[in-house]
Amino acid sequence: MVTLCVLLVGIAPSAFAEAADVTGGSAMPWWGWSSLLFGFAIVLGVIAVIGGVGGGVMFVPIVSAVFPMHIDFVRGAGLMVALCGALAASPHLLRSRLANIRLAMPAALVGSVGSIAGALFGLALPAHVIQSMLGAAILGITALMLFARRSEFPRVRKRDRLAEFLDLGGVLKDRATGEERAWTVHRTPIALVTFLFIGVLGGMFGLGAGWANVPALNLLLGAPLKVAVATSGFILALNGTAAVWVYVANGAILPIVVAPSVAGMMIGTRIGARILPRIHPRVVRRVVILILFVAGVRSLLAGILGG
Amino acid sequence: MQRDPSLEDVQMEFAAVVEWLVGIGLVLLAGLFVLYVTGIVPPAMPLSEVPAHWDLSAAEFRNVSGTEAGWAWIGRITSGEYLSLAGLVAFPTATTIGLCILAGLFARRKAVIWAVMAAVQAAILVFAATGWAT
Repeated sequence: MVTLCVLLVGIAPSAFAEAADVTGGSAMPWWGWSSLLFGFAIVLGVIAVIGGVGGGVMFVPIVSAVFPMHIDFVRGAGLMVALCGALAASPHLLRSRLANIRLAMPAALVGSVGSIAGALFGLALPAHVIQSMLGAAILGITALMLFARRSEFPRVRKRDRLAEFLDLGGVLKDRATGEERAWTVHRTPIALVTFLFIGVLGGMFGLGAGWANVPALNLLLGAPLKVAVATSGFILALNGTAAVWVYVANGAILPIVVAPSVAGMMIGTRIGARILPRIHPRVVRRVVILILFVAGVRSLLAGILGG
Repeated sequence: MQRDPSLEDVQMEFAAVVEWLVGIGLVLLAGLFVLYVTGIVPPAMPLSEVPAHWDLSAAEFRNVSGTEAGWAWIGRITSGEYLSLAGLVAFPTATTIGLCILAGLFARRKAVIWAVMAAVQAAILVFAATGWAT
């Protein structure tokens, strides 16, 4: 499986290049590409859920490595995939009270400003530069996925003044035991600066930012892991929206790329959620990290050689 | 600031709003895309030509398709691809409208800081949507 996945990212581009000639013309009809993208997005959705990563972070590096569209359209589609996935999951997470709207609001406020700046900056840069930067960012993300520790219930000794003023916190109920534990946060100002930076990266590369939001909420702010994961989706929806508007205004949203991607990813994540109990997620997570690593190296090299 | 238990209810009401808006978004996305690809609403650029140009940057593609940046595409909504784009835009629109409603829900409970924060967030999204920064 590992070999197959790595081969897909490493070798598929040359195979797909035969279907799209160098003049930009295509031997494959539009519906062939759209169907291929739809199937590919389903597979990515399944892997993303089982591997415990967001679909958005896998979509851009892998699709830009395998498909012939310009990276502007892949980033636009990646943002739409992340936004639609996050929005579709939000009602359930909000109702379960795992996502905390008040914890999300300040983070999303600064994050969406960063997201707009990142999107504008990213669309202004030449493709080979953005490709190199994306490669470097993806390699950084794989390192974060490998080495960042998570804490189920971080210890927060004293909340900071801003957290005190906004009364950031809540109560987490353990469904198994019925036990309720109060939680709060600290280091809010530093975390807000971090969310600004995360927004820039998300907007620039069209990546969902769950890979960064969760550690920032959990390890930096000190929110319980379940709250961090659920709240991250809501922040992603708000930041993603800000960046998507910039991509729409710049004409970087192509319906025949975006619609099959969004539909495929939504179907894939549902399939993934169903087969998740039967599969060993740790092994799949390692495969995902390996695929991302190969896609990151490929993107970095393509950017450097393309320049 | 003392925690107001009624603010937890805002979260529940907002969840219902988002669910409703996302449902509409999904119907629009699927329905308008079908109208586009089946040719019921003919596109300005034939579907068969799109793969020949999608290796261009977004700015170059706009030149080829004769569309200006910003909201100029809305004037061509009678063409399939722009109608389908309107279906996709339903999602960011849902978030933006949802935030405006959220600001109202907070304001109704006199949670001034949260109402202002939601309103500022909505204003940022509206600013991004106007395309002025482009």
